[in-house]
Amino acid sequence: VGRAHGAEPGPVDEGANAVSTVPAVDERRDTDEVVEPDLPWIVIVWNDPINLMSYVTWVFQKLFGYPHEKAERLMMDVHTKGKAVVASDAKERCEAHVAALHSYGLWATLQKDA
Amino acid sequence: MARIDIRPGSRGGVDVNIPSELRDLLESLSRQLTDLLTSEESKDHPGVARLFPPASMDDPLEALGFEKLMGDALLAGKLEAADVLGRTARSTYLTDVEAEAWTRAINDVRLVLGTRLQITEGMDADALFDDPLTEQAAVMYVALTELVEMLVRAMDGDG
Repeated sequence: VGRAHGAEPGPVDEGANAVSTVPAVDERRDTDEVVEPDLPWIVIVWNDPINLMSYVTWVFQKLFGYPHEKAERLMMDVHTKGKAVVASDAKERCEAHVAALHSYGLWATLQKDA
Repeated sequence: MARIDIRPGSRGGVDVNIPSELRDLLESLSRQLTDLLTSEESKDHPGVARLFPPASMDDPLEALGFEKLMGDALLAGKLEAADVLGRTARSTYLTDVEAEAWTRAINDVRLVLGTRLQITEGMDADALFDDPLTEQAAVMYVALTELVEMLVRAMDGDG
């Protein structure tokens, strides 16, 4: 019957965070607005007894583009530790990740990184 | 349940050789899943709740905001997968997109069934088969589990 699955502490998309923080012309310097970087939020996948280990590994590969070994390592982390951080990103992107994980039936949540 | 044979297709996708009674079951489950997802009465069904878990563990407002933002699209995606499963339940060949829809829809049914059966980590599954009240659901759960395993393996390129 159901073996749970897990994911491991999600590697954060190494290349995708390369957002330039230096505007070519900083026209907002004189305003009072404090522009905080829209980071970091994290996506957590929780262990559950129904989703299969092979299925969870496949979902991580499909959604995050991880190689099989990395996806499996993440899955085992969820399985053995009860949860794993699978992504870290701006809030809107984390919401999209959670929605995608829910569409595959995984139990995922997002929160501001502590 | 008779033999289930799902393997990578020679032109991509997957070849599906399964007994006709299992195809009957998949058609029926597609309809049942659609009904469950769309009926007003199922809104508080624990199995349906499992398909749409809260997006935050400790912030109800965050979870509510997510539900408003993503709920309709999530529901539409699950209904679409169920529809594909129903329309292609007789197919012996599935495209990649169809195979993924099968996997998602069948897994959703597993989540609903598993919630009803109160599946827990490392539980003694034999007890489910010994109880007349759960035996039928347990047989179906096991068959669908095998289907998901084989679909994932085939989509990964393993025969």
